[in-house]
Amino acid sequence: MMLLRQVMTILWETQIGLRNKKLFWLTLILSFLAGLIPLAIGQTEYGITLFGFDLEEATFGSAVVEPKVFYGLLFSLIGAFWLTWIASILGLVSTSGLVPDLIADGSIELTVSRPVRRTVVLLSKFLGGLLFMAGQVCVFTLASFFAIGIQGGGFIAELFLALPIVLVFFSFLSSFCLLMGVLTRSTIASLLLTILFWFFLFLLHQVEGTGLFFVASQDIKIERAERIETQLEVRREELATLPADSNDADIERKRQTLVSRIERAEQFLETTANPQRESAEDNLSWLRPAHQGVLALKTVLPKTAETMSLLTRQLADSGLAVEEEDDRSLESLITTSDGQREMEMVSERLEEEFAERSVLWILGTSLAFEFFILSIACWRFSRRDF
Amino acid sequence: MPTPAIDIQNARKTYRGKVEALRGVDLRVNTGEIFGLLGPNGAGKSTLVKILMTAVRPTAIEGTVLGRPVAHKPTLAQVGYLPEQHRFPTHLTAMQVLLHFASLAGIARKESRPRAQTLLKRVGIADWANKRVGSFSKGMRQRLGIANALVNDPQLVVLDEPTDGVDPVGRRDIRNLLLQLKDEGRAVFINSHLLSELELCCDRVAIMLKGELRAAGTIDELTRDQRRYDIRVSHGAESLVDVAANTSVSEPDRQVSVPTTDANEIQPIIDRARASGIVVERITPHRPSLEELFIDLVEDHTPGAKVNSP
Repeated sequence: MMLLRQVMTILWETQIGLRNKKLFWLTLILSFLAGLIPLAIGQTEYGITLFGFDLEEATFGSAVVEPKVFYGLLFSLIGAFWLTWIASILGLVSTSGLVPDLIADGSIELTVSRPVRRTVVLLSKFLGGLLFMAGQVCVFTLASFFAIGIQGGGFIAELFLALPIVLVFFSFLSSFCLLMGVLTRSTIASLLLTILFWFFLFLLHQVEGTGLFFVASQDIKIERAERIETQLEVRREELATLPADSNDADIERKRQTLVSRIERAEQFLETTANPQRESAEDNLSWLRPAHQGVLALKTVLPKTAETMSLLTRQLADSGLAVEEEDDRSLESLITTSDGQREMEMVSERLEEEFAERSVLWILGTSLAFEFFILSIACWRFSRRDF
Repeated sequence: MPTPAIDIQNARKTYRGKVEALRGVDLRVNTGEIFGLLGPNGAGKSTLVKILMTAVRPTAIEGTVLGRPVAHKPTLAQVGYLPEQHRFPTHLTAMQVLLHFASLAGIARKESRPRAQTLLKRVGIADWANKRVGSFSKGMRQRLGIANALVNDPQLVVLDEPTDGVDPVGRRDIRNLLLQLKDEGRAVFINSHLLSELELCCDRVAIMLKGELRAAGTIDELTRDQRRYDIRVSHGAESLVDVAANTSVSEPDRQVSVPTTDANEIQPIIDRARASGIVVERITPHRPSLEELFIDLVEDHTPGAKVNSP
């Protein structure tokens, strides 16, 4: 009971402190306005409208995409951008001073001299920061919920999935900011170091994605050569089953076609596929370990990009996003010599790879990192002399 | 023997960099008394107070606060504290400050609100109860700090420079408040540089230098050895010196000083003076002030030279 009272007291004081800043209201107003963006975008049968002006974009017309799916997609795009970048940065700027203000000379003694555990004080401040962010996300999502409903997209309850996802995402950064606040006792330093850390995570995600791209493209080259060999084997067996001395014109035509295809495939294999495979195997000998190393590093760090992509993924699972048609045939692999198809396959492979990463892996490992960071912060805060 | 509110032995603190702020301090503060801790800057007073308030971890310490081991968190519910240069959240009103810190001490709102109102009145800022602390003057913040130290109805009140920034009337009010607290049976521990203030209200004082207690006791006890009688005469002071032991001339031929607290011991000098036709103009019992005592003890100390708080 006493613990609960102390936590509520610190949360109450934190919220008053945040509400007292102009940035708090500015952030809420901006989030509200951003949430109303769907009001400016309408959907007609054959396109969309922007502030009432028709834009000929048949891909998004209600004849092609259901309004609910269209607006779900719109929310995932606007939401991902607004909540990931703008709202999170505003949230960090607003809350980065919570701990440095708490542990400033003359302030911290007042708190720690009360019968409250230091860990409770610190974690309550952390929770206060998350509540601030929750307020922002709620305002944005509620505004979007009603804006989309008014625009005819229906009242999509799944939009509120943004709340837990964004909060988890923000908590990764906020926990790091908390630790920096404890270590540096400076608002500016903790904010800058957190943004730097965020940038590092973003960079790591890009490096890992690029590494995965190269690994996938090399894999595809090897797989293509193997598939051509398999196909060749099948064609050769097919050729062998044809009667050797047949006077049947159809059989002869088939034989010539098969021979021609086999010759083309053998030539393609020899001049293109095999050299590419050898090169790919050489490349993979260092590319794969390098990628695995980056992935291992990424595994122990918070996965901010993947966490936010869960919003799009969850909306897609709820039928609120357009899924691309899966068109991969072995024949097109063998016959297409330019890189366009290969690029498409690599992209698809990447999407598959990212989609296969489980929620448990994304959130579990990220939350483990957060727990570790919070533990260090609590330990340092508890042992520090003020 | 009175019950101790603070009873600590061998309090030591060595900061990183091997700076010894406390070098084995023994201290006892009784319930129902006002105890003053004096010392120059860097003597280790704040470190000692912060250890008692759990803001600083001691290198070593034995003993109790209100009968519980030092740093026992639940005991702090019965301790009020005013830090030096305290900083309240400026976005809170005076009333909110008191409610906030009362809640942290585990006191329910329905109990703390009337108490906060009473305390704000008691320290003279009741009219400012709903004004934000950011708009307060230094003296008002100090008054609020004292109210905050009392909001949890503590048995032990620890005040670090309680009259800092307060005008003379405010100081008198605070002094009276401290005396009331003492009368209520609470222990009051004051850390201050304003020696004249301490002299007016402290039952006992201790003087700390370089992390050690150099003197402790009542002001009477501490000044006993330096008390004297000054006898002002018209002339011939030199001729009176040999009448009593340790007598000296403190002003050329006009004043004799006798180091004693016993009036009987100066009677022979008066007799001799009368017999010699020397006019005794004035007899003054002299008790050194706390400030004189303090300066005597610290005059060879260089402030902050070796001992620094973080």
